[in-house]
Amino acid sequence: MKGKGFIFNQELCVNCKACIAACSLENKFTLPVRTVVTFNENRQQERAVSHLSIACNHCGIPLCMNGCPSKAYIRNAATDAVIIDQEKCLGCNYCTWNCPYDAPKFDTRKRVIGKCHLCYTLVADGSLPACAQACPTGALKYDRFERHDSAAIPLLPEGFGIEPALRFSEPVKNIPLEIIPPDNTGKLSAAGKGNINSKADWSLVLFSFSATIAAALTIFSFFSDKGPGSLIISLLSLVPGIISLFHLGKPLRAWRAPANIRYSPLSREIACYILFVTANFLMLFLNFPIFRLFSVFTGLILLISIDSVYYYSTGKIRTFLHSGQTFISALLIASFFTGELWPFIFTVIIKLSLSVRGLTAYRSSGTEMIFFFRLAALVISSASLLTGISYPALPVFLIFLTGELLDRIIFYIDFYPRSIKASLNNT
Amino acid sequence: MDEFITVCPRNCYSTCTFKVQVENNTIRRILPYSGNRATPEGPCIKGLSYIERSSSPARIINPLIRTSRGTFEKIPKAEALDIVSSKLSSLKEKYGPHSILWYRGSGMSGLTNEIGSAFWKAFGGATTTYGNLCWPAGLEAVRLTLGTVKHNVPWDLPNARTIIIWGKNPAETNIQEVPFIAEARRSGARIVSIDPLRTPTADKSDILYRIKPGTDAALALAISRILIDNNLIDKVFIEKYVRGYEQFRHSLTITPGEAEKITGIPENEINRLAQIIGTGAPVTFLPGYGLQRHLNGGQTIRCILALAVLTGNIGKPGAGFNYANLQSYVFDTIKEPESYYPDNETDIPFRRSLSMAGLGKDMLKIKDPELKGALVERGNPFLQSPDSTLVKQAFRNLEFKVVIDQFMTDTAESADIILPAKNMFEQSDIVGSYWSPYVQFKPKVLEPPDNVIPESEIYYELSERLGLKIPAEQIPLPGNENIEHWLEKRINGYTQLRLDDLRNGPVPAPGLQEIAFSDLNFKTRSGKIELFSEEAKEKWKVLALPEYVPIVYGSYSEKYPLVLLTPNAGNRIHSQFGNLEVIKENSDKPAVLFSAADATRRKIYDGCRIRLFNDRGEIFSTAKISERIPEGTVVLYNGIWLNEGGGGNFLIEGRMTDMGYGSAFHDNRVEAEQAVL
Repeated sequence: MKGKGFIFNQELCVNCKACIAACSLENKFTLPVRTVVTFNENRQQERAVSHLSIACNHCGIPLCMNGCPSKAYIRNAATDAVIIDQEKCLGCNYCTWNCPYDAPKFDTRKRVIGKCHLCYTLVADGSLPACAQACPTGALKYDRFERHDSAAIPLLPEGFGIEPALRFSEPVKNIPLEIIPPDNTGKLSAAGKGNINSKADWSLVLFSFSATIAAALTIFSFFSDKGPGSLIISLLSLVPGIISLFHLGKPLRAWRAPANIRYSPLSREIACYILFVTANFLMLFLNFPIFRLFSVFTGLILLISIDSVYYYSTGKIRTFLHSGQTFISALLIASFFTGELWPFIFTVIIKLSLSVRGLTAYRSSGTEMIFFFRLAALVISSASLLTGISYPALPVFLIFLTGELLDRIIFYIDFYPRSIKASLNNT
Repeated sequence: MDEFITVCPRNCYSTCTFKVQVENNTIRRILPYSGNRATPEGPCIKGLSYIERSSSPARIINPLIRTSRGTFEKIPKAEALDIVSSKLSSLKEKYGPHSILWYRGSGMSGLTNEIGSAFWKAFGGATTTYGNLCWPAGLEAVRLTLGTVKHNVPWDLPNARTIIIWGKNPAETNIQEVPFIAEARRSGARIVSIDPLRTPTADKSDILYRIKPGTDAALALAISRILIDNNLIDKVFIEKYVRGYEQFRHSLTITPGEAEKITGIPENEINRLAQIIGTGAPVTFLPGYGLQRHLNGGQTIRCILALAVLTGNIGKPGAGFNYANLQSYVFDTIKEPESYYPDNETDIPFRRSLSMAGLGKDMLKIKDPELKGALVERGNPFLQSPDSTLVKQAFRNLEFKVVIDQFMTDTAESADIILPAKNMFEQSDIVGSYWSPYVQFKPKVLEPPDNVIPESEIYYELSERLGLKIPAEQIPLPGNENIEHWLEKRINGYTQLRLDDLRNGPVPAPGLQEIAFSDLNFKTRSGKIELFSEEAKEKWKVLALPEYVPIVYGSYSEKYPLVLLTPNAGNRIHSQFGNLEVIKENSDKPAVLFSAADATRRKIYDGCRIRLFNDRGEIFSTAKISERIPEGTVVLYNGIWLNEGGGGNFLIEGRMTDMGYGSAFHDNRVEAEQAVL
């Protein structure tokens, strides 16, 4: 893609933040949409310190726009700027997960996303965006160039292929500063900067967990007479929807959420959820096996759609191999409820192995206790089920469900949306 | 929307030219002006902040009077001026004109600042100040050595093959120099920083020599010795243009081994640095001002300057000693540093003056008459003068204080009357630069708020009220056209430049040498570069030769182990700008910076409340552990307002530098501990 974009010279940037100030003075945004990120912030001796001024790169393939469930993003034709329409934004934050450059930011006052709009009125008039105009060293320029994919940005993990309008004017030289005498006194460690971006959010934990249980109950009822009736399942299936509203900056705009079903996994999730609720309510009136099967089917589809929302994680464990993903959890919970031994043993083995893998990844991280509790809950409850003791006594039931809830919490603890800061720290 | 070319009048190297867009008497945009070759990419974040600063709700736009309850109340302009004039005349009557201190800071540059002195002369005089808080020791050192304080134009820097940044931090205090350094580096120049701190500038260098504070002269002298011993000097240049080489050579007793003990830099590395300087021609030295805010500051600058002299790095492209470039000060009768000397004659209005460095002490001490009143303009001595506690006490003793300012500074808080000051956009003026070679016109582009009048008009109004018959050449009548007329006359006779020549943008100073000293004409007593200077000895009672004089921290600070440095912050000019929202949003919270080792030893952690103290006083602040700080040193940027915790000047003794009447801010030690809440 040809076009104009930001051209950045690392040798010239000294982190003076004039670009940020120019942006806020020009646009009166209520939050700083531009930031300067520092590579080797802790000044490890073996590496050079450098900075990158970054806001939105107005990508050729904008992940924010593609993922936005409410189609709040538009591309300005005159300037190719990717702009958010704050009137349409739900405040769901999904774009903040998708963007690898942290361009969209949640404005806690307005409760919607704010982001760089490339000063598109200025740019359309032939002027420069305020940031590039203001840079007092000339490190940040805005000019015409052939867009490459992000491999052209050496500080970022390569190969997103999303055609960011950002390029480095010359290859980055990583010549460390030679310090004389060498500085050996009490270095700060490079570590200890984790959890920058962990998105553990209670409403999301409860939304996905209640959806998992609702879906598991449809399976339970399909295979067993002991399962709850259609009315209970229908009412239960409303719970996740209500909870999910709490996570939105603008809950009243929730109706827009399925608007981008073609591109947005989040829109698909909401659509699947609506389908699932509809199927359950249909069951109230048409309680035939085929409709019950339809409800089971929509439940499983819903879980797959929930899991795919979290596809882009830079956490230690891959989303699809995570013990806390909803699909496997629902199968386990359903087989636990039905008491069907072989399916239960099969899913427990999968769960156990995934959990142990997770524990290994998080060994001596300070959070391993929660993994132990989670494993203990699974072992205790499955042991009591397998030995036939006291099933279906309430304590076992509670221990089991607590274990599954912990697993979902672990899933979020490990969920790191892509972020430029995380990329820099890992480079 | 109207667009004007203007210039930033702050006390800063860069003196950026910029374009300003004005709409409805409000600054809308600040844009770069590429016609200034030194600042083509435009001003820094502080310059951009004028958009906020010029219409800040925090600005004082009405005269204020202190009430009996200690609060301030608005009063009409005329009434305020009446009170000031009657108070001044009654003080004069009772105690004489010299009972009034006229204090001027460096808050805004421009020729119109002189207008005040016409008033005070006609008033019968006043007690003034001599010396300067910033840079005079170094200026004097350069003047004594080279005769004139100047250097190559900023855009010559890429011609250097070696750049020695000695105690300067352009990445924060002269950001427009960064592109020139980067260009030099791109074309292969070696960038060496010598600094106790790992500054953002050091981060952009190849090598950082982390020297112990105050020992730079010892390093320079050791290098001189190595250069001479290894024949890395320019003998032809020395023979023709240098006076005192032989005496200097014989005085070099500091061996690299001894220098290692003094400076903390290993002997072999001192040898390498000498090689870099001796074989890296052309070499440009970029010395900073913090370097000379030491008791030995002037001699330190002389020692470092000797390196440029010995290696013949004077008067050539890519070479030089860029301390200050006063070539654009074409309209000054007496240039810095001589303008800082106290007047010695006995019968002149300003015969009595107090040292800037020891302001508090001097104010309390002076008799016949004692000080009874003060008028402060363009300054904030409560924060910026050393010994803040004494300064505050001395001001408290006064009967009547007038402060002219745009904002409620800590000094303004102490006033009896506050008169609102103009901002840079509200009156025309002419501004020079001590880095770039331009003479610049700063036009009036905004109407001041109704109750704000420029200082020149304050003085006009006061002189009217006091019945002082001052001719309009000295104090112009109100109105900007009269100021421009005054400027027109003021610059007449110095050069061929007329005011209209300046209106279209910056003009290179008449007689500019792009390569300073390219004519090898040195206006010293001997006409040569003076390594040996009788004048230095006569005037300042130092050795005629450059010398390393160890810092005496003073008996009071022996029990305090940490050297306190108070360098300039990137986002402030001294105590200016820190009160603006856009600056606060983009700055770290004021904090005392510690090395990890010093912090750990004192059980101080990042973000913890601390008490920083010595026998002079204490301040409370927040600790920040930083890789930039070496063990044994703590850093608190200067200009921190009292409501942010206050600055280091409460812990700093008011002592003078060895020459030039500067202030030795950086020779104080402190201790720190976790604050008990």
